[in-house]
Amino acid sequence: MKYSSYNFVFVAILAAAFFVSNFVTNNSLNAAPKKGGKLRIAILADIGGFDSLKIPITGRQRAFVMQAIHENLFDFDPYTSKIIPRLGLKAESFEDTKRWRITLRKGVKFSNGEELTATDYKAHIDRLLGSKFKARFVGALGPRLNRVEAPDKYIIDFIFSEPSPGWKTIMTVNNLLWWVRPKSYLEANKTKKTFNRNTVGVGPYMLKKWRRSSSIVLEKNPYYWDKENQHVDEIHFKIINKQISRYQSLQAGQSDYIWIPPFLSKRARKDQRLKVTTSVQWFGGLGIAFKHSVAPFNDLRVRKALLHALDRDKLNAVLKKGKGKAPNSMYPKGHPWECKNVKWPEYNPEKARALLKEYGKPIKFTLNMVGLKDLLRVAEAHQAYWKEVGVEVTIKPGPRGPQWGRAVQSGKFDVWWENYGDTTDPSLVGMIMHSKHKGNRYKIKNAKVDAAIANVKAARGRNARLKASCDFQQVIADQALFNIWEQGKVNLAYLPYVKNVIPANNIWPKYQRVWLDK
Amino acid sequence: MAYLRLRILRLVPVFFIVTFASFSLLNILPGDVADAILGGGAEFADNPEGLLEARLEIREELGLDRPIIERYFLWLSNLLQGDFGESQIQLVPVWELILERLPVTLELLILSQFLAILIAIPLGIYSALKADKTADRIIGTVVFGIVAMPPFLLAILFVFFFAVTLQFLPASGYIPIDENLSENLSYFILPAITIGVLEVPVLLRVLRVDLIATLQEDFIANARAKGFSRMYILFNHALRPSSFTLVTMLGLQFGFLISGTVIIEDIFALPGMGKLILESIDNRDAMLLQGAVTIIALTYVIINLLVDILYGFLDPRVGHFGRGRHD
Repeated sequence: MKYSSYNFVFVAILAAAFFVSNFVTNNSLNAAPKKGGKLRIAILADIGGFDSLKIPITGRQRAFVMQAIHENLFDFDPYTSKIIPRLGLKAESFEDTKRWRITLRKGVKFSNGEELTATDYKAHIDRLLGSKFKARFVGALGPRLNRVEAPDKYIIDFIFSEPSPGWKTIMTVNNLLWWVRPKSYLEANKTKKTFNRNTVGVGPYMLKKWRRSSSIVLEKNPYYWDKENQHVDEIHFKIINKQISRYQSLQAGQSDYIWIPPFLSKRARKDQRLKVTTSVQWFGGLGIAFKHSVAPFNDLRVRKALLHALDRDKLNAVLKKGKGKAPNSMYPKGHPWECKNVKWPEYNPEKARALLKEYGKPIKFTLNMVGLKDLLRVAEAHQAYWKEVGVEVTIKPGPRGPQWGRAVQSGKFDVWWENYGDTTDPSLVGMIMHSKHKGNRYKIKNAKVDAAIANVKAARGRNARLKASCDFQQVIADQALFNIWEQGKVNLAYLPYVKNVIPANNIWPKYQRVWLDK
Repeated sequence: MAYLRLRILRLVPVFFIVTFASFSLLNILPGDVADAILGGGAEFADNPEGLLEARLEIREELGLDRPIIERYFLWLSNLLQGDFGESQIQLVPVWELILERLPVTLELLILSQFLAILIAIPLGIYSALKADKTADRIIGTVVFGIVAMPPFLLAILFVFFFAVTLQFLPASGYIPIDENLSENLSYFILPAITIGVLEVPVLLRVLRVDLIATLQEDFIANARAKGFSRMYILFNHALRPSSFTLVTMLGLQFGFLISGTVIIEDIFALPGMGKLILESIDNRDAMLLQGAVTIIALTYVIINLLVDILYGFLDPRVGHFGRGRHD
C-alpha cells in the first residue's frame, strides 16, 4: 500500500513537471526560435531584375524581396524606437552633418564568400551616381548625396551637398543604396547580359531560383554573419497579382505571410485561422493638393474655406466603413516624429461660407484623381462636402500607373490627389514646398513656409528638430497648404505558426527574421 | 496543297492588320515605356528637369522618338529575319519570354477544352435524344445559368470552395510540368474547370441543334428501317455529320482563349500569354506586345487550318482541303 502511494506521488510529480514545462515553453516570451522550413509569401508583382540601372526603380515588391538578400548598415527597432547597428557599428557626423563616417563591421561576407568592405559601397554608389540616370537615384537616396569615400577598408564616408542631420535614421530605410555587391563581382559581370538575372548580397538569403512572373526562391546564405537571426531554410515568393487571390492563398494554407490592405485586415481579424499585425507606415499620407500659383488657390481664405468645409474624420472613415480619425500632420500616430498638438482647420461649414463670401467670387474647379474605384469614392465624398458650401467640383479620373506620376510632375493639374511620400526624417518631409525648391509642384511661395523649412534644416539635436518639425506642420495647417485625409498602415496577415513577426517600420516588414513553429 | 497555300496567303493581310493595329493602339494610350522605366517619377521630386532629361534619353535609346511607321517597319524587317527583339522592360529576348509563357496557356487550354468536350458531348447527345422533354429543359436551364456567370466570379467561388474551405486543391500558383507532373496538374485543375465549364453551354447547344437536325435526315430513317440500333445509328451515322459546327466552335474558342484567358490566369496566378499581354500593355512594352500578338495571330491561323483538316476526316465529301467543304 505504502509502495503504491509513493508510486502515485512520483507519477503525479512527473506529470506536473511535464505540464508546467510545456506551459512555460509554449507561453514563454523568450521561446527559442526554431530553425528550418520554408516560408511562403505571396507578393503583388515580379521584381524585374537585380540591376537597378536597368529596371524601373519603383516597385515595392522588388525592395521587399531584396531586403532578404542585402542588409542595411543600421536598423530601426520598432519596439524601442532605437537605431541599432547591423553592418555598421558606428555613425559619426562631421562638418555640421555634411559628412557622415560609418565604421563597418569586420568579417561580414557576401554570399560568394568575399568580405564586405568600404570599397564595395563606394563602387556600388559610384555606379549609381555616375550613371546617366543619376537624377533618379539622387531622389531615391534621400538628401542630396554628393559622393562616397572609402578612407579605410572598414570606413565609409558619405558626403552631402548640404547638412543631413537625419542621415542615421535615413540609413535604416530599405532602398537600392544598400543593395551592395562586391566591387570585383560588379567589374566582372556588369556588362554581361545575365547580370540582371542574379545577384550577390550580404543578407541572410541568396537567390536560388527565379521563375519570371511566377515565383522567386531564396535559400540561406551560408556566409551570413548573424546566424542567430537566420531561421527558415528557404523563402518562397509566389507572384499573385490579384489581392483577393493572395488572400485566398493564405486562407487555403498555401501562403504563410502576406501584406494586406485595410479593408482586408478587418476581415482577416475575424478569421480564426489567421493572425494580423498592424503597424505605422512612415508615410506622409494621401490627400488633395492645390496649385498655389493659380486662382482661387492663391488665396488663403479659399484654401481655409475648403478645409473648414470638410469633416475630415468622416472622410477618413469612408473606406474604413467604421470610425475614422483624420491625421493632423504628415507624421502618423505612433511615428517617432509624431506631432501631437498640431491644430488643423476644424469642420465648420459656416466659417467656410463666410470665408468664401469674403472672397467674393464663385469657386469651381476640377479634382484630378487616380482612376481607382476606392479613391474615386473618397473624391465624391469631398465633392459632396464642398457642394454644401457652394463650391462646384468636377471629378476627373486620370491615368493609372506611372502615367499618373508623370501627369502630376508635369504641373498640368490645379487640384489633384497627392501622395506625400517618405517621412523617415524631418529633413525629407515637405522640403519641396520651399519657394526656391526645383520640385515645388504646388508652386507654393509663402514666406512663413520658407522660414519654417529653414528652421527644420537648421535645427540640431532631437528636441530642437522635433520642435522645428512640428512648428512646420502647424504652419502647413495654418496656411491650409493641402488636405491630408489618410495615412496608411502596414497590415500583415499570417498563419499562427509564423513566429517573430516584427511590426514594420517605414513599410518594410522583416519577414526574413521569422521562424516557423510547426 | 492549293487550298493550304491559299490559307497561308490569307494570313498575310491579317498579320499586317493585327500587328499594325496593336502597334498603333499602344501609341494612342497615354504614356509610353519610358514612363514605365522611370516609374511614377517620384524620385525626381526635387529635379523635374532631370525627369524630362531622363525621359528624353530613354526615348532616344529605344527609338521612341522616331515616327510610328518607321518603328513599325523596323520591327517588321527584324521579324522577317527571325528577330523578335528584346522586351524594353525586362531586357530579355521577346522570344524567350513567349517560350516561357505559351506552354502555360496551351496546357490550360488543352485541359479546359478536353474537360469541356468530356462534359458537352455526352450531355449534348443526351439533350438531343431527349429533345423538348424534361431532361432537355433542365439541361438547357442549367446551361443558360452558366452562360450568365462571369468567369471571375466562378473562379473565385471554385477557389473559395475547393481551396479555402476544403483545402483540397491549391488556390493559385504554377510549377512547370517537367518539375513535378502531379503538382503541375493540381495547379491547373481549378482554372481548367472554370474555363471548361464556361465553354460547355456553347458546345452543348451547337451539338444538340446539329444532332436534332441530322436525326431527321432521310439516311437516318433509312438506317432505322434497316434495323440498326439507336446507339449504333447515333455513333456511326449521326454524330460525325453533326460535328462540324462543334469542331468550328472548338477552333474559334481555342483561338480566342489563347489571349482571352487573362482573367483566369490573373486569378490563378498562372504566368501565361494572357498575363504577358496585359503586362506588356500596362508597361507600354511595344516589342513584347508585338511579339505576343504575332504568335497569337499565327496560332489562331494554325488552329483554323487544323480545323479545316479535321473536316476532311469527319466528312470524306470535303476531300482535298476544301472542295465541297462545309463553311
